[in-house]
Amino acid sequence: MKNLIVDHLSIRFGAANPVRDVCFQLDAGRSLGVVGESGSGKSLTALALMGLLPDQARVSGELSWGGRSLQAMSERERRAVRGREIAMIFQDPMTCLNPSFTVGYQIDEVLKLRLGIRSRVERRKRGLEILSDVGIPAPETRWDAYPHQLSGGMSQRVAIAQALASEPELLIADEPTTALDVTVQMQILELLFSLKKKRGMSLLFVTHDLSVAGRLCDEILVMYAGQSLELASANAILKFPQHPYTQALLAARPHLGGGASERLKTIPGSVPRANEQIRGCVFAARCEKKFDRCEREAPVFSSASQFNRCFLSKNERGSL
Amino acid sequence: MRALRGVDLEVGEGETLAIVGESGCGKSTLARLLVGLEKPDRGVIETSESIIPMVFQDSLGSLHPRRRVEQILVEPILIREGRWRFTPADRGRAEAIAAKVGITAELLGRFPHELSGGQRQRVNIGRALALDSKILVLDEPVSALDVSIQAQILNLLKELQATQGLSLIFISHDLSVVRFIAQRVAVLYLGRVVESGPAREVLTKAQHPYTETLLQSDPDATDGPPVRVVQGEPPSPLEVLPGCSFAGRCPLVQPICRTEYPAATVRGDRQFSCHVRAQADGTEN
Ligand SMILES: Nc1ncnc2c1ncn2[C@@H]1O[C@H](COP(=O)(O)OP(=O)(O)O)[C@@H](O)[C@H]1O
Ligand SMILES: [Mg+2]
Repeated sequence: MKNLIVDHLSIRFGAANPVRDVCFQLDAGRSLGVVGESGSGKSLTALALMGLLPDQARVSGELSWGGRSLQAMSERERRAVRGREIAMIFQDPMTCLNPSFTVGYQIDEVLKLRLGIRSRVERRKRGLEILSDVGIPAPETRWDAYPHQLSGGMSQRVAIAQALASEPELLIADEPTTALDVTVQMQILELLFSLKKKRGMSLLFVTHDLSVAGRLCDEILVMYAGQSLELASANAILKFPQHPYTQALLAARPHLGGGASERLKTIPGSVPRANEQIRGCVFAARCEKKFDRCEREAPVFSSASQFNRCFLSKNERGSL
Repeated sequence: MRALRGVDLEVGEGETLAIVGESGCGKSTLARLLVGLEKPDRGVIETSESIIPMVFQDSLGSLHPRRRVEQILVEPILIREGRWRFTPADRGRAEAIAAKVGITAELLGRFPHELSGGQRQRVNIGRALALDSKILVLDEPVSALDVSIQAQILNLLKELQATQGLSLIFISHDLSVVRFIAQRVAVLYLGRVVESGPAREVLTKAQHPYTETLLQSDPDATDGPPVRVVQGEPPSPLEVLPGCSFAGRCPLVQPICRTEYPAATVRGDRQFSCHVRAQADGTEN
């Protein structure tokens, strides 16, 4: 089983720098929720791991999978990793599914090409098992269906089945249920996390919803303006958020258990643009706890700052 | 096809009624009926207002792409007065509306695509209030916005309600948002109100199993994983089944649920339609 390490990942498109410095580690068999508002660089980070960024993207930093550098790999090795070891599902299941082929065909292809299973009978048997694993009732009746004949929830289940067919060690899920109804959303997420457990794979779960990540993941990485700002256990993030941005994010969200309190806390101002040069902390302009140093100097994100990119983090405080 | 059946709702002055449910449950049809975009086959809608304005989820799609913010804000006034030309007097009106909804003066000359999602939604709300309506229908007004922007819009709506005595009909699938904004809730499932009552009570002590399901599906519901996630997906509203529309997915289902639609059990200001819970309640009528 392999660990994933992302170190100082930066992605540029010309003058735009939508991913500025992302660092995290995902240990084998664990789940990490990558949380941030839209435009914070979550999807680009995920695509970088898959090696699916557009050609114009300039990537720097280190992406390491099981001790091997993903960037140092040849295109052929990369494709092998993408097909077998790391799989990805997207918000729109049709990103992975081909509308012109039946459900059965798409699963069959993976089993044939990626796992090299020769016998058609064997592939069909395996394929049906996988479809039933992802909660598709009477899979035999869906085997010959086309994706457009299925509901959004069912299509996403098929996309998950296709991703799992190659028995990946790491699954990257980018907002996989955002387009679905609430009750279906929870069903699919519970399914995803139970499959993760059952198969012992690692899960990188990208979402804009801190509560969802908090409920399901082992750890959470909070992203803002293309940077990783805070990394901690899900419980710690929800109960004892350290970074002022994480704190603000939690306070801005109404809570089911909370009373209908008079006002929600808001975050003044807006997210910096991807082509903005920022000298200090990326959140300083909107932070209610900022002081002089925050706009002059950039805080670091490392074990020394306890993975809290803030001058107020416990260890940084000593150096004030 | 009947998108809505036997829906009875009431919203008081200065009150927010939230309509909760999943896609296809009839929420948007209901909104369109309320604002007169559709006519009911049967039933009546009574209000003291001649026009009920509406705000949609898609903040960009509902704004004219080649009009400036100041023009958009006074659109309803121009329409009412049957004229096209934007006059200097309209600028003053636009400024007054902008101030109400927190749009700064420098945004008045911009086009919709030059605004952020939150600013656009403020423009939509401002325009909806241009004629000083006392009631406003909002269809998923914050669902497409990021959390920090969502909070700004929700605060604005609460503020407007307090200062202008507005009544809101707030359509949403997000229970945490509903808990914050609404005094009353009606839960819609496949075109029927399955439960309604004060938000505080419905969202803490649900009676209808479908409401319970929604609550358990809310990520804020509990710390751990839900006790029981309902299986299956909402059936198509085209399938007309006898009995309770939730029977096919209900964990409490009994034979009677599949044959007879449950009458409403009324208890004070709460109401729900469920055979099983009505029996447990001992007040079936
Ligand atoms: N091909 C591209 N060229 C230029 N900018 C891009 C490109 N793809 C994405 N971006 C920019 O990168 C930012 C972050 O994107 P993304 O990773 O999709 O954010 P998230 O998934 O967190 O919403 C966006 O603001 C977007 O404008
Ligand atoms: Mg994204």
